[in-house]
Amino acid sequence: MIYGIIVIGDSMNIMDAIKKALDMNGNLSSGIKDNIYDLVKIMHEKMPDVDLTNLKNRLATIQFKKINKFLSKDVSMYSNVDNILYFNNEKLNEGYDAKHVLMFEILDIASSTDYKKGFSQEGRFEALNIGYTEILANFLVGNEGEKTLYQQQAIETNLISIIVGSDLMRKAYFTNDTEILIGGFRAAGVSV
Amino acid sequence: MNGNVVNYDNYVELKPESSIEEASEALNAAVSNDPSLLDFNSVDALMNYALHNPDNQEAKEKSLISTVDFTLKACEKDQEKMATLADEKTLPGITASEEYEELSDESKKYIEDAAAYIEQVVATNNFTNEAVEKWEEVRDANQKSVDDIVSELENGPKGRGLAG
Repeated sequence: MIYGIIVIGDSMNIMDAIKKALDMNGNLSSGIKDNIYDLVKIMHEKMPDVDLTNLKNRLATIQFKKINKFLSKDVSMYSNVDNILYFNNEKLNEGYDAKHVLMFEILDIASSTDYKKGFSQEGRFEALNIGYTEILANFLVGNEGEKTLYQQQAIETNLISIIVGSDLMRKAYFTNDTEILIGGFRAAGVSV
Repeated sequence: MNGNVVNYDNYVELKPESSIEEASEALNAAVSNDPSLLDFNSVDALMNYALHNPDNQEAKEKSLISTVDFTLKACEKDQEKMATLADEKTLPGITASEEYEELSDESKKYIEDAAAYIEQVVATNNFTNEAVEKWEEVRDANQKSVDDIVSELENGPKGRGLAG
């Protein structure tokens, strides 16, 4: 994935491409597609420097599936290997903000490859990666639910981002480059 | 930290299904090459463990306190980072969170003391060794370090440790 500045002309093109990708997807209802598009639009407006090509490719074939609350404690879960987004509807109805949850998952999808999620690597920095996703979801759409998804991880990540530097953390997240994160730690005198 | 850290080469994730022996081994696989260097691996392991055990209040609490403790240590020589930490949205902001309400009185006091220390240092522009040493006294008196948690994992009664 290439991390770079997108000029305004390209900006229109990528949102058109996202729309086309969603239109091509036969697995999603039109209502879900509209919801996703609206959230991606917010993401693009607030973070225009983030390359959405990976997100576009994944949205073209993504599937949504329900998962039983007895099988997973999570409200939602994205399988980057299968490109399937699982929702635990019973948990979701316990007071979570569906808009926030979907934004969280769109960020997770945008920052996933077949092998990695954001800057996490083989279990390392997993909570940090989830906390960072939660911070970005809060930044983009806030949270109006009675419950929060990963508030503790967001608090912890917010603190750690002061050590590493939020710019480096963001770059590492959207380029799946764990070495950038490790470099930030080392520059601050921290070994990892 | 006393140098009892987990090196990258010895890194083992603390999985939910880890036995206390495995958790101890992971955290004790530690050899200190440079005691002056802070090591994030044990904090990372605690954060990941708490993530996978959302119903384990003890694990969540230890993860949060260890992260605060680690951040303070990593930032205490950097005025700009300390000022950022003092922002109401960062360290002092924790006291307004839902997570804070669930903390034990001991941990709440630690967070309050940490926030007060940060605010005082930034407000007085007092980034001296004396100020840091004073905070270390407060910290040591109120809260266990990551190494204490490691020690508990190794020696504490089964069922009370993180992997129990």
